Amino acid sequence: MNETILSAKGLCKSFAHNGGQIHILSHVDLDIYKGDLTVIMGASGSGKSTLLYALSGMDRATAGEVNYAGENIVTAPEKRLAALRHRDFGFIFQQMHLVSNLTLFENVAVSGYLNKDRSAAEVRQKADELLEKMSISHIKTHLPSQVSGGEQQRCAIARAVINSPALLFADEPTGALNRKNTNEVLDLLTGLNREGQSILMVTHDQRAALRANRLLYLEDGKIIGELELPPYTAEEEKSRETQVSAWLSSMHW
Amino acid sequence: MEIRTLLKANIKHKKGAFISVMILTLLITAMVSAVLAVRKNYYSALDRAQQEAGVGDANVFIARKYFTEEMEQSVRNSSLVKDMTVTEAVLNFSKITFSNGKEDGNSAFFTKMQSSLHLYNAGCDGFEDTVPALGKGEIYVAYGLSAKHGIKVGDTLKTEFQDREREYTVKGFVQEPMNGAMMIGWKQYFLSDEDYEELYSSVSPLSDKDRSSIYRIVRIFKADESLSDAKFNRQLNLETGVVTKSAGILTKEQSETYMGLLMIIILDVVLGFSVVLFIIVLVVIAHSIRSEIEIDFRNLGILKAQGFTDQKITQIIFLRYALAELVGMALGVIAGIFLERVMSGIFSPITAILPDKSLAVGGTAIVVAGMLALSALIVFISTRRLAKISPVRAISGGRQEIWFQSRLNVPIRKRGLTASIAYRAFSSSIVKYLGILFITVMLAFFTVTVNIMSAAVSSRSALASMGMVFADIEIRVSDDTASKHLDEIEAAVEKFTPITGKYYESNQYFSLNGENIICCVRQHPEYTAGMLKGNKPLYDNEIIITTQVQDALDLRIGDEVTVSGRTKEAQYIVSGIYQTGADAGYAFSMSLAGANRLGTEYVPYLSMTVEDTSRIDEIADALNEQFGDMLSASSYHFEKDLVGDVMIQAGDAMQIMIYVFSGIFAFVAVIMVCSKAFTQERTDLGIYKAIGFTSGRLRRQFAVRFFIIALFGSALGALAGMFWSDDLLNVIFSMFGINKLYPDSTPLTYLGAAGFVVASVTLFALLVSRKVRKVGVRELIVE
Repeated sequence: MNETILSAKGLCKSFAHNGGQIHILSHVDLDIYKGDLTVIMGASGSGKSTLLYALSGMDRATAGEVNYAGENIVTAPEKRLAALRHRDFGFIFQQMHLVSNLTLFENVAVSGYLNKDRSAAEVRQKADELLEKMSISHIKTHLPSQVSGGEQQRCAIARAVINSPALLFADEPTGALNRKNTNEVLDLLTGLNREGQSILMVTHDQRAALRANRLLYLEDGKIIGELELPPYTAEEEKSRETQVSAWLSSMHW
Repeated sequence: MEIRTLLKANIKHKKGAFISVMILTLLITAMVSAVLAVRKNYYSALDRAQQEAGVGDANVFIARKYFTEEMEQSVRNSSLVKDMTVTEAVLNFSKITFSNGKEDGNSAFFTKMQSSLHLYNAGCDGFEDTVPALGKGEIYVAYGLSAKHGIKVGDTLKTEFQDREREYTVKGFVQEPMNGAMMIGWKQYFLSDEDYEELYSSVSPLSDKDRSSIYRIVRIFKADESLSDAKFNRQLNLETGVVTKSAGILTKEQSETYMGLLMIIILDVVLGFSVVLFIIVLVVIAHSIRSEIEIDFRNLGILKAQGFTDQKITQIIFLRYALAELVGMALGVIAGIFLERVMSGIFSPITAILPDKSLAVGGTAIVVAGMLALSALIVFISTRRLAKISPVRAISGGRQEIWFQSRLNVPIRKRGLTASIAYRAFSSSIVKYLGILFITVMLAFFTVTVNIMSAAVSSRSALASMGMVFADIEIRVSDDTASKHLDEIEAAVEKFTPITGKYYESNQYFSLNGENIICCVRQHPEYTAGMLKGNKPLYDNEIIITTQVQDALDLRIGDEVTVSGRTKEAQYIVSGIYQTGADAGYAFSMSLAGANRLGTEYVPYLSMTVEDTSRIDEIADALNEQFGDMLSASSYHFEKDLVGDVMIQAGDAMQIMIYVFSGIFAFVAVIMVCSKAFTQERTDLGIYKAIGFTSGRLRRQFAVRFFIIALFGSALGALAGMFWSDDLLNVIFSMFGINKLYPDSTPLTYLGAAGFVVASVTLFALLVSRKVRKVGVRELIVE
């Protein structure tokens, strides 16, 4: 039996618009399991990113619960959410969102410095290791504006995992990258998952979806389909692609 | 039409900048229009009062025995003179004691009430329609005495005349536009006809050695209006000798200067402050436009793609700022009306002139037009970078944030994480913060300047350098008897505590190379303050002169001069240059030994400073008891007495005003600059939140950055103040005879100013940073 790391119950998200309300998420029930690489897919505007942000506590749901470690984070105070963000969750954005006036090394280390359980020396060592792992240690003193999009996203991944989060959220991590960079980033994420990192990724990129061992499909703010897959290997990518395509077609993708 | 649409949208979406510029302009316009109106209202009221009261172009105070029939005729018949009036008065040298315990040691001219003078109403904010006749024992006094000594209607004053002491009850205050101001020592006191006749008959008409004598106040009007009062005075004296024979002369121009002396100095400082504030406004506008272009890069590109030219976009920006300024100016003029009333209310007791109540329309209009023209120039210069925006690059989001690998960068550290991130934001983009840096420099510099000015009008040594002696013990002698017992008097004082300074002086007019100039005769010239060059006049053939006299008479150190008293004449050598506020700096000084050669045998004012000031009351009592028949002594508690001084209060009021305005200015400017910085960095703030930074930590980080800037700016401003504030004030004060300030500035003068600016900027940055709470990580989402 898989261990649930995060669960949502009756999750709703609405926005006020022209005096009325737009419902983005509508009573979503969902469990995320430890060690999984879960991918949520859906058409543009289906509410994928909104769901990710609500689950990660980056944004508050309008109604419902998100339970993490026995705590409903929907009602958690701002300080508690901040602590969750740097201790328990990691986040990768589509647009990388590195702090523009910090070097790549500093972008990674700053997140680690927030962790009171680690000394500064430990953080620096860990940051160096991660940058090495992401193959960007040679440009660690560069500013984000001085490196490519792929290098920026690798730096963002390193930043997201520096505090060894229980769950790593990724919002279209390949959305702003070219094919070569996309593969590199997906390889890194897959590698992290193999090492035991739980990942919840939102994407509309089918190549990214192939890396998942669990696929969820979101439509009009509701989970309407789920597909479980064995762990990803490069060798069986072709057959996996056929399986996923068929499933996506069944979801009217 | 398209400009109107965009202008409306621009104002709607950039309300913050619009309101900020409006408030800043409002403050400046209010101050400038108020200062101009206060000045105009004072001069117009003074001019009218002088005409009504018949103040002459030269007003000579001369003993009756010197103003003979022959002298009167020679003045009246001079081709230089158009008209002349003569008023008789009893001059009394004894100090006047008021019922509230205050004393006035200046010479007093008692005369009949003149019907041309206005009587203040009960609130002293207007005049009575009629002036009730004085009864026996009643007196009208100049309004300046109310401010100077805090006396009220119904108080009494008493003084010793030649034959006996007399006491009068103050029935009211009159506007006396010749020497009625607080800053002028000699005063006229107005008696009923009956009291005056009685007093007059008791005074020996020929004596000028007694404590009372008969004087004439001769008001002389010049025939040639183009002649300056000083030249008229000099030529008349050369022709008739009337000035040389007088005890003193006050020209209309001098009167105007002295009456408004303190007010004009303070107004000049406030005007200078307004100029500094306006420079800050220009910097804020330039900074705001540069930030806007960065923030609105894409929108501006879209406008250009639609065919808007750089000129059109510049027009829109200019119109928005011009509109904000115009609204601010209009409101500022309205606020200026109230501010003018407040300021006039503060100065009115000092100038003793009831000011008019009108706007300085012409002057304000010129200032407003100048402000608009200068801000237009700044808008056009700041919008030049619009030309660099290519529509394609802008629309495709091609704005590249340029961050510099600054040498000033220091690594981000776990310890002091907030401070190091704040410092990075600053060091990697210094240019962005130059505006706020400049603003803090200017604010700190001006705050230092104001502190120095405040110290200059409230410290003992600074006042001494202006020729104002604030002694611990003031002794007034009525004749030369006391001078023969000086050793005993000093010994009596030193029984209590050692004497640290001896200011034994008298001020009298002597003719220096034919020019009638006030001379400070010092029995102990070694205590002369305010020396600028050369030596103190220690020998009996030496004098020192001020730079004003030096320039007017073309004299240098080492030159030989002729000085004439009423009866004698002697040659002297100029041994040094000094400064004093006496007669607006048109003065000279010599030792008593030197003045002996002109017939002056003693000085009537014996002031001392002592080591142990806690015993001065006992000392004064002991002196009065032991030597009461030859002198009257009083103690003077500098700090205590000075606090209540209207002059100091006026200075303090202006200081508070400048501090308050600086605070508001810092508030608005910092909010404006912070808001722009905030908008520019909104994404970074969202990222920090996403990785676990709390709102509190980010707020501190934001405020720390402005703290760093304010720290740098204030340090630079305080440093600039250390080097140049004195010079700036010296330029202003030199117009009034003070060439060099001795402001008694302490480290607190500079640290206090810097601290004030740092605290204001940091506090306001912290206030603005409340917006951090509203930054949601959701803003980073790309759907």
